[in-house]
Amino acid sequence: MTPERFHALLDSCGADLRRWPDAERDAALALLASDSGALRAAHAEAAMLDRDLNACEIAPPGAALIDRIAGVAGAVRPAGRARSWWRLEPFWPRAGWALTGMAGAVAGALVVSVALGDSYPAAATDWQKRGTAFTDRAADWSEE
Amino acid sequence: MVEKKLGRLLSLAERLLGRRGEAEEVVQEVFVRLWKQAPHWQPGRARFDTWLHRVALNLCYDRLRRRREEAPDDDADEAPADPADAPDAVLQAKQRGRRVARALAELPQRQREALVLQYYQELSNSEAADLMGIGIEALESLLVRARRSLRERLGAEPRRNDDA
Repeated sequence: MTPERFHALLDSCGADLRRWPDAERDAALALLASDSGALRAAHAEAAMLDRDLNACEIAPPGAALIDRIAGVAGAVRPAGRARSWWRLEPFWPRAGWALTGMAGAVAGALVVSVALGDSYPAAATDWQKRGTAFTDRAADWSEE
Repeated sequence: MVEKKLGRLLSLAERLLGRRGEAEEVVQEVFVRLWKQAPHWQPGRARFDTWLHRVALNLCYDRLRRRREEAPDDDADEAPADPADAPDAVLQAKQRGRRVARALAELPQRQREALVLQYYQELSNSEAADLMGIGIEALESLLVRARRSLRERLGAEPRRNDDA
């Protein structure tokens, strides 16, 4: 690396050699180490400007901004295939009512079947014990 | 993810626009676009960070363009420092920061952009040049002029004694 190139990088990238192009960093370090004074003085001046630049700090994002952005995320409609669901949005309320109705019907059927569950099977098994016009247990009138 | 990228984007927007409120609006819009584009994202096509920077930069350009078209006004939306606010050292640091921010805001837009991307956002020269749509030599030239101009502006003011 030439001193001219060193100055050019110093003037464009600043004193922190970590910000310099990877390919030129080692050569710059070697040149700086072997320098008698002129490059070091220029380096120190560039470091002073870096310190000035670092003084310009930006306050970190506040909780309100973070909340606002997180809130916006919920309201944003995704693009692409996922959007096809959003196209059906006008039908969502009706679909919701239809699903609610279906759920009610199923629940109602369950309740009825549970409530009647005790009587129907019993009645079905008892019929043979009951006397009817066709199965008259006292057909021979012996009990009478 | 929001918290991880938010500070970085806010820093970019505020340094380019010089106004906190506008910078926050820009950052919010970047995330809206991010979420809208999320299903289309293809890993490997572009660096995610680069994409975010590009969107933020474009939004900042729009605002700066609109600002130029409108009547020029006082750029600073910061309150003047109240000497009673803080002890001397803190006050000095704040004043120094404000001075640098003001000098930064007075740079020509492309110089400021180059410096913000390369120095504050810590992008490599090639990444910054790519984002700005220029070559590396052109970027270095902008950086040289930006730093020289800053040095002149800041050097004209009294040096602080807290550099050591």
